Amino acid sequence: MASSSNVSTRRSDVVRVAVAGNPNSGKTTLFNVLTGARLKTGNYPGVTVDVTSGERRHKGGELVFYDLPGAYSLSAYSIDELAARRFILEEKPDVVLNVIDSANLERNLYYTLQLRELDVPVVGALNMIDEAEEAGVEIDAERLGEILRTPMVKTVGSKRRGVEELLDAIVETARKDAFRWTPSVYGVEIERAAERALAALGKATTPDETAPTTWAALKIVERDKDETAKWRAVNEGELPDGATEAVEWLERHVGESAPVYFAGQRYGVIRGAVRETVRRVKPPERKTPTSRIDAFALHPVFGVVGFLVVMAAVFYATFTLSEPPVAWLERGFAALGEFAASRIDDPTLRSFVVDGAIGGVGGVLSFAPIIVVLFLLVTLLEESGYMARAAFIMDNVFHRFGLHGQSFIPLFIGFGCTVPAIMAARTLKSPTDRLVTILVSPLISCGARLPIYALIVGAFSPPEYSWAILLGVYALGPIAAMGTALLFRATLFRGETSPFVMELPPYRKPTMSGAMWHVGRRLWRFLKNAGTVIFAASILVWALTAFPRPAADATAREALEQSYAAQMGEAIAPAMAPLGLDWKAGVALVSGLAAKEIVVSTMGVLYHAEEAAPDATLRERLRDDGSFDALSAISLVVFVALYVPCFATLATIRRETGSWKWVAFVAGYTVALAWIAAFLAHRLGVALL
Amino acid sequence: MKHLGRRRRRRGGDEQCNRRRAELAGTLTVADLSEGEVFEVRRVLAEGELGRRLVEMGLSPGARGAVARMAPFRGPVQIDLLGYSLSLRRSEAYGVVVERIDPS
Repeated sequence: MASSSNVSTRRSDVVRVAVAGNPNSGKTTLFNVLTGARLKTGNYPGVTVDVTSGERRHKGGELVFYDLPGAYSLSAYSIDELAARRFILEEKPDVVLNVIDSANLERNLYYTLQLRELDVPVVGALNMIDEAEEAGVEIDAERLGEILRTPMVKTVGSKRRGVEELLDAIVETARKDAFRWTPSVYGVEIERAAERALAALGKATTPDETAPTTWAALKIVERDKDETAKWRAVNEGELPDGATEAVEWLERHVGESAPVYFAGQRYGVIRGAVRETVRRVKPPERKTPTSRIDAFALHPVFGVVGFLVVMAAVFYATFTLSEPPVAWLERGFAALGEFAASRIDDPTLRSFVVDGAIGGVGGVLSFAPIIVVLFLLVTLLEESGYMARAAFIMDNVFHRFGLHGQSFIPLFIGFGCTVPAIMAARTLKSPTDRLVTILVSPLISCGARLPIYALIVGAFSPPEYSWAILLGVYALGPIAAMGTALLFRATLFRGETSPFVMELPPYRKPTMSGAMWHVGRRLWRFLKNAGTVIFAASILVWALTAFPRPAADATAREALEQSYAAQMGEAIAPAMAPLGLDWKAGVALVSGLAAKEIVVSTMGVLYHAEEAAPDATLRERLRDDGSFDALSAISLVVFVALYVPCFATLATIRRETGSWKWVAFVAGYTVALAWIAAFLAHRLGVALL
Repeated sequence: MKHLGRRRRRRGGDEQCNRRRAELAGTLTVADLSEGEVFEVRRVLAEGELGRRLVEMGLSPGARGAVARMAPFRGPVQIDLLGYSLSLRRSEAYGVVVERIDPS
């Protein structure tokens, strides 16, 4: 995946600008204003997150901007933060454009200070300055720039204010060397400890064959995980002699743990700078619009009710709004298939083109509307600031089950599609929380399983109860996910979940253009990652059902009965028997590995009783088929709800965890869980009915 | 809820640890405050990555904040500080030693 070419081919006349800043600082809006529409995404070595880049000409010079993931700190905590840090360290941009939320100056300057320690040239954009000024905060940008030794420009990204000045400052800064940042500002203790650590590093093997920097020494002193690991790796698993002693000396001297002390000292510097440069012309308002909304949104009763209403609305809107386009696409692909069928004579080729290729592409694309609508709604909720509140409300419950409040967003997306759900788990800070979330997310019923439920529940339940049964089937996912997470936490991943130290950003009206931009990015990632796999898997399943080639006069059903898929179905039939399912259901479940919606079409071919009227719907055929009764229906629905997700999900798990081990683990445990749950449900059904 | 509460106390090693540390120091923590109270951070007792993150998000010694909300059932705490809102779990709030400030 990694193509370093975009960055590594350096042209001296191009200024490479990394855009970095806190989440919610208006970073992406400013990036879009700076670059316009000429964008591309790429993967960079060491960075697991897609980095979008865009170009711009300014006064005859060429600038390339890289939009880094939002980060609160360089002491990387989440994958996003680590990606931003590694990009700056490894790609060595000419300038870092640090986007700062002016209304939230002190916390944003913490990141600025850390960037300055790196000695990369930094330009600060005091963004959303209009909001700060409205709130009565006046910032002396020039003086602040002098103190931090880096230019500061006032901007309003959404109104394109200050863009020219910002570009001027970037071009000018790129031409100069950065002012060296001195650790002495953090007090004599840190300075001494850094000197001792630097001396120790100087005598050891270095990780990258260059002399150790003051920055590296500072990172060692603040017990930075990434930097410490780098030095350990090249020095036989130990920090160089004297480095650990330097940190311990500091901790003894100040009576505090080094990371806590160092972070506090940075805030000391920031408080001094702010005292000198920021003037409050009116006192802060007691009741902001955000606090008024939160009085409801986070209310112990109304908050929870509101949360359930919002989620139900998103859910409902996703399936109703996407229904017509899904139907159009399905009809379109069906028509295309018929057209192709009428033009191709060779039966094998015809089958390949119609059932394999067109069916496969159709399967992927007809699913896209659900993804688009769900992404759009989730993005709007994220941009508005509500998703952080949802995590706040959910954490108390999730935490008890070994998940994290922020696991909620990926799991919710899982109701649409498991692939983006697994990718969304990147927002989770700790690797363990992220892994547990990834492992349980396939249990949430994705949108592709709905047609199966609709078919079977519709065929076997009285119409007045079908909605309740559907709801129950959907509830199975979260219940199983919680229980499984608790089990994993008690066995595989012991220990506390990671901290829930999270910003509750002010509510903002989401912009449609901003939302579309995120949706586009997410959709592209989905099509790129899932599309290819689903397509390939569809071809594979087609091959299993189409070979060995049947006799020319065989019916569709006869053809399928002697295919490899049927042979596989027969092979697993003994395992299916205790669930009240026969080989046909087995074949359908195997075909569901490619994509869940294929289960329905496979059943459509298999349950084709000769005695039934030729125009009978699949629903009626299922009901009339002697081998499939209400008890089989219960087993099948429960099994489908929990068993192995599609190949695209498995491929995504491989990509996101970097290991086949977890792919095998998910495949194994979900099948086992599905079988046990289906068996219990079946026995319960036998006892009751 | 009672049942969950019992299990939580047994499992919540972090919380216990931080609370014991705070008790030993005979001090007041963010978790001991109630809604609307204003405080000044004295010291962060939580160590390692949690301690680092708490300070990085603005709970540095000398910083002032106010408790905006305490979620029921020992849920998370919402704090207003540095012009923004921060949420943390009750167990994490025990790691931040504060002094009560008269809001006026």
